[in-house]
Amino acid sequence: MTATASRYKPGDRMLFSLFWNYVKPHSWQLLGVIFGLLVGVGLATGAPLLINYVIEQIELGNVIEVSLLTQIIVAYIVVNIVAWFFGVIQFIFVAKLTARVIRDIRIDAFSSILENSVSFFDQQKSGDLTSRVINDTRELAESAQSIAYFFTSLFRLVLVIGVFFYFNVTLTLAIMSIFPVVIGFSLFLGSFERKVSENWRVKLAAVNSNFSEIMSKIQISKAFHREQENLSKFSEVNEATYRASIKRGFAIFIFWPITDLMKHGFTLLILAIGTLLVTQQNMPVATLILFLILSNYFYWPLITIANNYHRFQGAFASLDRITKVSKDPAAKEREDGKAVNALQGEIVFDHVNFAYLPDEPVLRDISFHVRAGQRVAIVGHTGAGKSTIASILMRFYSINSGAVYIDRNYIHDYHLQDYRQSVSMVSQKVLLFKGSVRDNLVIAKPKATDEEIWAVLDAVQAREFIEQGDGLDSIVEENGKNLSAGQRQMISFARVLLSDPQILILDEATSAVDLYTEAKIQDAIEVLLQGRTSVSIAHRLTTILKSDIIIVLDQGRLVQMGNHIELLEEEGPYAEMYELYLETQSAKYLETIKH
Amino acid sequence: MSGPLRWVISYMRRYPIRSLFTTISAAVEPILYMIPLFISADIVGVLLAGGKWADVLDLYLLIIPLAIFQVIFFFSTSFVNEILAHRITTDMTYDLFSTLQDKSLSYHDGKDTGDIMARATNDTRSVNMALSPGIRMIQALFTVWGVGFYAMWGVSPWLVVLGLVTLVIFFYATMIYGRVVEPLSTQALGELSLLSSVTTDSVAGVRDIKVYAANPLFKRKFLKQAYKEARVREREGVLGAWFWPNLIARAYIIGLLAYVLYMTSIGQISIPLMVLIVTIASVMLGMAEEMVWIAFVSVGGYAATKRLMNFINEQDIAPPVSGNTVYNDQPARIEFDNVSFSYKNGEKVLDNLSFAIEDSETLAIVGSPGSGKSTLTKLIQRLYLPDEGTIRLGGNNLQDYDEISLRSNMATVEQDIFLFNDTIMENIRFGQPQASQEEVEMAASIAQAHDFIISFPEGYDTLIGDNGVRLSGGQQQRLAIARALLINPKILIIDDGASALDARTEAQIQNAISAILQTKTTIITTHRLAIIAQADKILILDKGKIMGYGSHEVLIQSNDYYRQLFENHFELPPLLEGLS
Repeated sequence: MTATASRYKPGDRMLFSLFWNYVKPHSWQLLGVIFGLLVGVGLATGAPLLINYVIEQIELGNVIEVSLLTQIIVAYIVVNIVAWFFGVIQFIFVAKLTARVIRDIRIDAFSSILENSVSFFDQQKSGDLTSRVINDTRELAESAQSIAYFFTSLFRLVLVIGVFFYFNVTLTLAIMSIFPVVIGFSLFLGSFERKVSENWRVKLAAVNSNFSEIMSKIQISKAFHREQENLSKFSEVNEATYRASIKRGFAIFIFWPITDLMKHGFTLLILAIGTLLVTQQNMPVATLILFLILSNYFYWPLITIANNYHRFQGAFASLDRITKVSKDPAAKEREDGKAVNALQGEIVFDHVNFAYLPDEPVLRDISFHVRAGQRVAIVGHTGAGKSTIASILMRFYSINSGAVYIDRNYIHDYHLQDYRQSVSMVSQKVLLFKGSVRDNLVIAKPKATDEEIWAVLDAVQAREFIEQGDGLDSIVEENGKNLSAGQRQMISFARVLLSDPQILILDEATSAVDLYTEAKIQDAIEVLLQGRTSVSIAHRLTTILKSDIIIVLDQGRLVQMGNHIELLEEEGPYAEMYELYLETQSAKYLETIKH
Repeated sequence: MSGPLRWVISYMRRYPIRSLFTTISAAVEPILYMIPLFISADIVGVLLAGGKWADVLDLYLLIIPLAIFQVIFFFSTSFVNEILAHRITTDMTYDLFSTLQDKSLSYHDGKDTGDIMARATNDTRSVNMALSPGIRMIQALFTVWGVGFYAMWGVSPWLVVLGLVTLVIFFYATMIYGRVVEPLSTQALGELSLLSSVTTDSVAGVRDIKVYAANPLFKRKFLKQAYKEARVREREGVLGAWFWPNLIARAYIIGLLAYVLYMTSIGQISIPLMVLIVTIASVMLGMAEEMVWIAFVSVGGYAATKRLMNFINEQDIAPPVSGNTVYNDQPARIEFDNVSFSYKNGEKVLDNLSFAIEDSETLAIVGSPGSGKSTLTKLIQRLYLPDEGTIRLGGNNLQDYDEISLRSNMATVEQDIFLFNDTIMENIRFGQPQASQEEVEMAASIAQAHDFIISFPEGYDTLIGDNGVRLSGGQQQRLAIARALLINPKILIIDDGASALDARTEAQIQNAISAILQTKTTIITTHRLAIIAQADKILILDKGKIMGYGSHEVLIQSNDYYRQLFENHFELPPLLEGLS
């Protein structure tokens, strides 16, 4: 099992009120559907009345004049066309209602998920999230119109019960004894359907994740000839979905034979009690016949309500899944806090402890002080916690104990969006988005002009390859897969230049760029670093040597801190690392390894 | 019969019993449903003739077992139909996966995960909804009308003829209607694909979105696409609502009723027969009414089927090749002979390359970003095929080798590390699923990964998250190295595979694998001067052309670019200071 983000479980009442909030803005459409249904019902029952009249006349032996018959037929035709028309209207409103409600749910789900914290995303499979936003929402399609069916059925039910009470109270009360049976049944089946639907949705999302994961990393599967294993693994999740769908199908379709049987029982009940009333209490037979005829008008709305309820439960399994990832308060980032005008860029870590997972401390008791405008380099072996410091400065995670101050305020006291506009990062793994080069750059500054964009692209030596394509309109494929890693890094670097932050974090920002190109980019970095605080994580000496402060991390602890000269004199891990570095980069080393 | 339909039927054929059962029972079940109508008409007849309760009791008793039987029959029909529909779409998803996986990398370069996802889940769901209850309902419509015709035959054969004509027109009209709605259905599915793409793209890049506080930008992008999709859906729904073929069916039914009423009033038709026809007509009309949404769902399913079918049958521009030559003892000598290559946009990425790497040699490839380094390694892996020229391995054309022997002798540490949301163990033995624990640990040790792995509470069973997000960059890279070493390949390709490692770890790995590398042909793209200088041969690429080729000693004295590379580095004053 994969780790789940949280134990957040929205209650049914919350789900319903949430759903109602999505439907409410479209209440005109909902009313349209209800109106269409009611008129449709009226006409559908009205038309047989016409025929009834004709039959009665014939039975009574009255000769119907052809002209009257013609009128009746014309009336019937008109009624039918009107009924068809109202059917159309109803269908139109259903289409509008459904499309809009789903649209709104999707937008809300997507927007809410984007507000979730990075630790939330660390725990999620991206295929699963997409599945929830795109596919689970679709399962709610019928739920909006279900509300309309529910209300119209309720209306019809109340109407019929009124008529029943008018004719015979005892029989009506006897008939109403079926309520608890139907309600109990639909509650039971509803919870069953909820369970199997949820299971089915989970399995379907697994298919989705597996599918997307394999397809987005197809290159590695091909290189390792992994296709057969992939296929058999996929087949497993795919078949599991199939099995889950059978259970769900059973839950859906078992409803009808059982309700049919209940209906037979119901008719027998009316007959039995009716006969009793006729023989012992002199109830007119006509009343019994009326009850028998109207029993359909009583039973079917009741069943429609029950059916909509249990289908609703199935759809709610989907809403539940959407809500779990979109409305979990524990997954949200803190949005309040004070506005940031201009950060100076002073950073203080005060006895900071941090762990991604409870038993695996990543940062242990880290304290350091960076004055505004200083350059900091963080060095250490892989897994020492360097990138974690960057993530904490980006406010991707909250620390477990200690405090981080930026300009003497708690880091979390700043308004998040503002804060992130003042602090920027070039990360180790560059991700570009599908769209144009321009689209990818303006993320950092939505109102940037083309001149500004070209200026930063020039600074990172990226003009040439971008001009070879369609300039700023060159297409960047999903994840930038049509660009080389170095090119992606250059674009990412240009992006951070454009964002012009007060605090700049460079996490191996040029690792995929060759030394020659990097040397050229260095000039841009120099300009960029003037007058701001920067935190660089690098293995390359060029970056480290120019730093005001070098922080040496080892397994989450700060083991040394100072400038290059100081640290060399200390003869600690830094000196060791430096010597090793020199050794592996020196001409002498080249000589030794060659011979 | 059009392609998509035939395609669906080919899937049904795989499950002959279920398909036959659904097809037959869906046709028979409505008959059972309608028999009580005949009996009711009889009851009316008996009562009209002055019959008593006792006279009709037998008829009533006949209805009860019939009804029970019908209920059970209905359940099995609908349930089996549902199972069949899911069976078929499960198979379609499988086939989609299988065909896509076998398509070439060039094919995949142009594809979006979000779009593929939408097809695999959303389109198949549309097909599913059309298959159940779509098929069943269409069959039921035919049966109900057929039973109606049977009842009418007694009144006048002309009614039946007229009814058949109506039915034909009705279906023809439905097809015209379908053709009108279909483009919108297709468009709606396409818009949803785009929405799915926006979602996957944003979720994958969420950390970058947060770095730039660009949430509003992406929300707006999603909102725009969601509105677009909803508008198309609405248009599809509104157009679908005007299901005018219904009017044809209604016209016939009204005509029928009028005729029957008239005939009854003049005494030509008995009242029981009239009751029978009136009740049956209402069922017939009811079925025709159901066609509004059946047709709508079917059109959606048809459009989705077409999209799926086209996707599965889509031509692969450069289909993967696999020959019959088995690679085992041939020397791992790789030769490029006038090789050129371009991606889809036509721009030449590799331009007429010729060089050779001898067996067990190490080749370092250097060059600025976009010079074609990674592409060259992918060509050696046969992930792409050259447009021109030949790549030879052990004297044979690379394309002549069969897939399995070639793959088991070649491994790669790629630049963009692809790790799977699974355990460390599963990730390392990705290319060698049968590898034992010891073998995995051995590979991990060489890659300097064993120590950090066992420092996790769950060791090799640690789940690493999407793309290994719970590991540091260096840890990810070491897993990728272990994964490649586990295969023990003759040819090892390291595409900038150590960029995230610190000097110590890299040196440790270097020491650990140096013995292994003695026996392997290694191709490595890197920016590390030590590694470059250590290679037997160095290939300098610039915009896809060879700018230099030879050993370090030769190039350092003769090649400008190469000198620059080292000069730049050696000029740094602190470096010299530290040495002194």
